[in-house]
Amino acid sequence: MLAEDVNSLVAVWGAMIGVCLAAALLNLGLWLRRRDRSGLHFLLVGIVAPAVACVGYIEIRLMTLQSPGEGMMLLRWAYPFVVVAAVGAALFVHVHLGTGRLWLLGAAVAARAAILVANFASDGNIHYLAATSLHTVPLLGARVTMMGGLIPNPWAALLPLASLAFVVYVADASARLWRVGDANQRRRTAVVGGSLALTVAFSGTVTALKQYGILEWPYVVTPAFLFFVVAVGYELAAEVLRTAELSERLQANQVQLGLAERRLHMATEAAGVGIWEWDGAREEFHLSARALKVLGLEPPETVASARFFDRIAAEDRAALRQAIERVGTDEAELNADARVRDRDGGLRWVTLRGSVVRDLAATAPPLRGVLADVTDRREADERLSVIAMASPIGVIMVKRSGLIVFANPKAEAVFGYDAGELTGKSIDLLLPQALRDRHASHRGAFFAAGGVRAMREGQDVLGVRKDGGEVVVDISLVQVHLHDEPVVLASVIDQRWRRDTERELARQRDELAHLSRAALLGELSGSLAHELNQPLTAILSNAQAAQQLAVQGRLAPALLDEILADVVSDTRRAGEVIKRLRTLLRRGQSVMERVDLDAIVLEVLRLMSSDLINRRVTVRTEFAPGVPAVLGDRIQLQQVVLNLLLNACEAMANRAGACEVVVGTQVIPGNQARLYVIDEGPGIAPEKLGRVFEPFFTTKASGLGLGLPLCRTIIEHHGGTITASNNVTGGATFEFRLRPAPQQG
Amino acid sequence: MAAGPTVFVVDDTASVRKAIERVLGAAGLQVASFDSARAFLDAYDPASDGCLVLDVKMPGMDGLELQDVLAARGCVLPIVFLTGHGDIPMSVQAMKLGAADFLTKPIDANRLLASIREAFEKCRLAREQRSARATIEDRLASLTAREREVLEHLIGGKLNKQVAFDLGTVEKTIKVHRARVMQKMQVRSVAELVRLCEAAGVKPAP
Repeated sequence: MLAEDVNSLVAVWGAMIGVCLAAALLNLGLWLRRRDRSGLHFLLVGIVAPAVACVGYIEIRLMTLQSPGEGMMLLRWAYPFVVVAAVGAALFVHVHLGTGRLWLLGAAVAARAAILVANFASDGNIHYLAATSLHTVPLLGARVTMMGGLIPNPWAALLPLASLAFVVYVADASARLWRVGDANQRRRTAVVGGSLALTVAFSGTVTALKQYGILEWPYVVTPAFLFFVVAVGYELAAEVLRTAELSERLQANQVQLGLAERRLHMATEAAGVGIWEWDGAREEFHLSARALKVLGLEPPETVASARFFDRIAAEDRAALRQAIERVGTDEAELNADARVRDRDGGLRWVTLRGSVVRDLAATAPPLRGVLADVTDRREADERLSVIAMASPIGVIMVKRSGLIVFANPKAEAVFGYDAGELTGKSIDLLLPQALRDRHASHRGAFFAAGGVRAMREGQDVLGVRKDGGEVVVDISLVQVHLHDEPVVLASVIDQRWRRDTERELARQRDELAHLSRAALLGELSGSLAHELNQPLTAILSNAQAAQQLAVQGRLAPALLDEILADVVSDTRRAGEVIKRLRTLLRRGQSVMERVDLDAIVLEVLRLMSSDLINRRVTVRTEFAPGVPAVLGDRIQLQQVVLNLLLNACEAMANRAGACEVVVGTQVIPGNQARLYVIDEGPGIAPEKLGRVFEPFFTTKASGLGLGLPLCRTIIEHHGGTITASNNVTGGATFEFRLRPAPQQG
Repeated sequence: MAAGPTVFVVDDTASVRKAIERVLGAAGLQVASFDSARAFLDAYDPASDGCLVLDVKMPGMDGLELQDVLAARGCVLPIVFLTGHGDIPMSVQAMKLGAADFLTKPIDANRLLASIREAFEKCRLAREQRSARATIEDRLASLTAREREVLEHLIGGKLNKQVAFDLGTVEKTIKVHRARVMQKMQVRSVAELVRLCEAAGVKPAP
């Protein structure tokens, strides 16, 4: 026993062998779980590590040699393991870094193979041809055996070459990855390349120094390889750690994805939106529960295209299919509406939106999107559209820029345009030239202020028609938001139409007043005939008397003068009656002038005088001083007074004996004129008092019930009020109040 | 009032009144005109003859009312009504109450004169009738109460015997009364007596 105190070395080498074996077991175990290309580096480490362990064992034996022959034999058998470890490491670099040049790898492997051949072909081993003695050298506090009298093998010159080829290969692979790689790959390069450089540098240096007798050291390679094994162990552990991190992240992502999916589901459910996906290659649709429901389909979620399109109403089917297919090939956006026949046979509108989703894995990109039942919205749209289209009021929607977004048919008609012609034009087109320049700034101010307003309230606004003519309109503006953009909605009312209506109303009122006067005069016809007959009678009799006297030759010139004067006077009287009648019967527009109410009353009383006699009604007039003149239509006011007086007479028709009607005028506070007619009739039943001015409300046996309503119409047209009340002493009082006429001059 | 028939014109319209006065005057008629029914009544003399030309429509008392009043007073003046318009119910009422005519204004003078002449004739007849009746009434007034009773029985067509029975006396007495009645009434037969009594409005005893 030459070696001394080698126990500690055996312990150290044992530990290194243990490390290697543990690494081998671990990596082989990993390789067994991933026996594909991605697990190859585990297998390589699993091969390298036991080879290193074997070398370590041989190294221990070399430190405790009994004879030089034993050392020569051990060295010879150590080399195959070194080759396995070296080639394994090179392959590991190739697999792990993936950037090595194959020819460099081949060179390194070939050099090792050549050394291996030389190792077994030579006497002794690749290092020495023969050894003659044994001696001991100190190593780490122990004395270990070393062979002496060594004859170097000339083939040993190959050893540095093999190491060099290996180093070049690893350096090249590392450099290439370092240049192109990311941080992770650079780290990998540093660990693997660095550890191998250390390994080769250590073992190569030691071997070379020993070979030429410069360093007297035992054969020690294992610690060098240990660098590599530890580095690779660290590398693989880091990879495991990274994998664990990745899987954690993936899990988290999956949780996120699940949440996102649930949120999407909730959102789509809440919005009543279904999700669909079309696989054109398989002619299949994948539909969410909501989508199935909207289309009236039963689960499962995968539906053949034919079944899907069966649900679409026949008239929309071909168009939808075309749209979907076109989007599938053009990768555009799908935006289509189609009708779906529901279970009751009714049609529901469904809108489909979608686009192609590029998926790297899929060959035919599927079309994905959402669909929703929009029947209610479409119906609401249609209703609104019908309203806008049929509205008797013109509606124009204008953007801030003055661009007309929408104009309904009425608006187009008002301005003389054809359907759809205004849309897209500028609002300036409808404005008079004088307004165009200022309108943009008005518009800006209105958009800034918002709200509602009528344009130039109370005034007519001029617009320009397509034919260049002007049109008078009443325009109200309101600012609204359309797709988040402020727009102004203008309501346009054709004033000409309104004025026509007002004119027509006035005409009808005048016509009604005229007809009513005719009816009133009809009631008076008996007494009016009397009024006319009296002068006619006198005229006829005078004329015949004159004839008679002339025949008898008794006609004195003085008498003739007298008779003719009477005839003239009576003719005038008859003419006046006719004139009054014609005045009242005249039809036409009302003429407003300054009118004295007292004069009106007297005129009416003259007209009624015979009638009043007939009815045995006496009329007492009470004309208070200072009653202002009013602005009114003489004939219509006469008509009202006539009506009130006739009503008063009729109210007293059933009274025996003489009756009296009081008609009077007075001035009341506010300088208004009041005209009242008081009768002694039975009065008006309290419950009917409020209704006497209603049309067709009559207490008379014969009467249309239009007289008093017409009186009210006339008085209100004059800006006055008319009322009826019962007297404390019996009978009723009808009265109206009118504002004074403006002062003249 | 002046002798001879007079046309009394009542019309509230002065010009009409005046014109009618002229046309009647030209025809040589005597005319008196009044502006109201009341004015006429105030001046009315039952003895006057002629006729009344009366406007139907007048303030205060109208033509028809005046007709009523005059009828109540036993006036013999026939009335020619003048009216503005021929209201049939009104004219019927007036004619029933003895109106002589009903003329619609304006009136033709010839037509008016014709009506007035007719009315004058009617007035004359009425006067005669009235005087004849006055004679009969004078004779009736000369009868005693008993004779009047006998007369009423006689014109009832009763025999002396029945009259005697009714009056509780004998036939002989009745015969005497009867003779006196015939004598006082200046008739020769019962038939003549009956005619007179009828004209005078004497009712036979039941």
